[in-house]
Amino acid sequence: MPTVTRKGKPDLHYEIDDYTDPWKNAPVILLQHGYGRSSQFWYSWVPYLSRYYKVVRTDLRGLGRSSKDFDLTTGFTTEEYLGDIEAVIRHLGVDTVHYCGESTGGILGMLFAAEYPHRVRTLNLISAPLFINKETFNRGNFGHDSGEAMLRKLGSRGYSLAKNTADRFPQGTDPGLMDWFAEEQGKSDVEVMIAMQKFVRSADTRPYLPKIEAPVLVIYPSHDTHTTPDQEEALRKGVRKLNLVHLPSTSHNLHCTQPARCATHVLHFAAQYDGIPCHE
Amino acid sequence: MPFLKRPGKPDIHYELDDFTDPWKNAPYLWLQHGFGRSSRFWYTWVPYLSRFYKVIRADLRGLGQSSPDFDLERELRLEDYFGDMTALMDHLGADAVHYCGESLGGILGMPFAATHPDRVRTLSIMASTVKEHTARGTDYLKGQSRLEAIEKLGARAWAEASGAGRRFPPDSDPGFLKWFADEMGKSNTQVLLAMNRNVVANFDASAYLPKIQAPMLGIYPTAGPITNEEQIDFLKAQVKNISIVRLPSKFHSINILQPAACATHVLHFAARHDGIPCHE
Repeated sequence: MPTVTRKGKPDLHYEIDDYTDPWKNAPVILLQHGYGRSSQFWYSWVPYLSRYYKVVRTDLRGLGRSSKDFDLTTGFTTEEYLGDIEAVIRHLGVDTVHYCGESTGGILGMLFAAEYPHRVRTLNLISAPLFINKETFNRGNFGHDSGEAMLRKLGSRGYSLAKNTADRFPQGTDPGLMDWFAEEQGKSDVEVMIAMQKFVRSADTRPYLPKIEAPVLVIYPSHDTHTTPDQEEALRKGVRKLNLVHLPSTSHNLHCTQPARCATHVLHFAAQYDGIPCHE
Repeated sequence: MPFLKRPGKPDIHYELDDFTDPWKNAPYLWLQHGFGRSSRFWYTWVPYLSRFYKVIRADLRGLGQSSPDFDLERELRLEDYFGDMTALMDHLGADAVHYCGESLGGILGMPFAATHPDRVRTLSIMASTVKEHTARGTDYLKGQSRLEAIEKLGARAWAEASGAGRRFPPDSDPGFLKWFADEMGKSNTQVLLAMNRNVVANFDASAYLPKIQAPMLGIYPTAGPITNEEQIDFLKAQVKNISIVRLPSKFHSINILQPAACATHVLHFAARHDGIPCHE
């Protein structure tokens, strides 16, 4: 469980899983979780990627095992987040990574690939909106006056349970997964959730898209209220090297419900870019 | 890097790789390395198994990072090895495991399954001899015994001399051959000599075979230099419930040469026994 420590910045925790041939120096795929989640949520992806890539899973500041010992009112900015991502890459001692982010992890990925193009081999976005649309915004308050009021009332776990049945998972999802998800997300500090929500709800990646140089793989659910057709249209207009795949689903979460499909798409996209075989 | 520690017994080092759904309590799959090797030699297998099984890789006493601090003449009996295995299973809370061993790891697996039927769900062996004294293939030794070769050359040079042409094709990736020799060369020479004298030299599994109750899978090269047809026919005749798979190869170390094929066979064999799906 490596930790990145810096002066005046929160400690960042990450996991590294590596079953690549030791004499080959395989590249890194960095998996970045989304809102209120952690590195733990990627466990199901590791087997699909780790034979050919060193798999790094970081906890965003304030979440998982990363420190929440920073000023929450000023610490959630694009600049701070991107600085954190680069600090992890530096800590790994590599020049570049394949970046793969789910939901908010993907929003950060678009910003990062635009601002640090020399650090990103490919950019992979799973159910990542370009911005949070009004419908998602309103529905996500679950009847409360604001996101903050909702989180204070429900708490992290209560929010997660409400989200589970609202638009996160399709009907018929394993109840074990849904319970585990809520328990795990329920570990997040509610003040971090509140501060982070403000960042997420104000994010808009559209101006950044033309600056993305890396090939981009987008995996969207076939029908989702977050990643709507107008967002897809903006992606197509803004991103130069775009590959868009729709996986059949009516719900936002793909990375926990369809790990094999998602991870295999990402693996092949990265391996094709690198020109390395990903079969044996 | 976890260790099993017990008073008066050598510390046993093991690796646990688990990317199974946390709410499902998946069974354990035990990978046992062979002569002069360690848990590290299984790294290629982990991605194929660890989504559906908790994968344990233990270093045999005296090898890898397990302690060589015990009486090498008197404490290398089968019951010493089996005591280490059951102690680690108890430590992990595993009632029974799917046991999979390569070469000597499989040789140990046969008597283990015969004497500990309640601890073994299925038994898979890879290129394991049944009766050591009738095994073939000592060309590289040029008339010496293995004991003499190890004594004369030391672990590193012995590992190198016994690799290409016998364990692996002569034109194998030089990076791989160097890694293998370096890694196997870390073995304690005194431990190797003692294991050869006390465990391997006169081993004969014959008496144990009819007592193996667990379903058994034998994976053998079609034309390996060590295992022969007579031994495989004997296995088929003696073991109640056995399936034999032959993988096309003229070389001994099929677990390293064909990790995807071997591991997938073992995965499906275990999953069919448990009645659990191993796809998603």
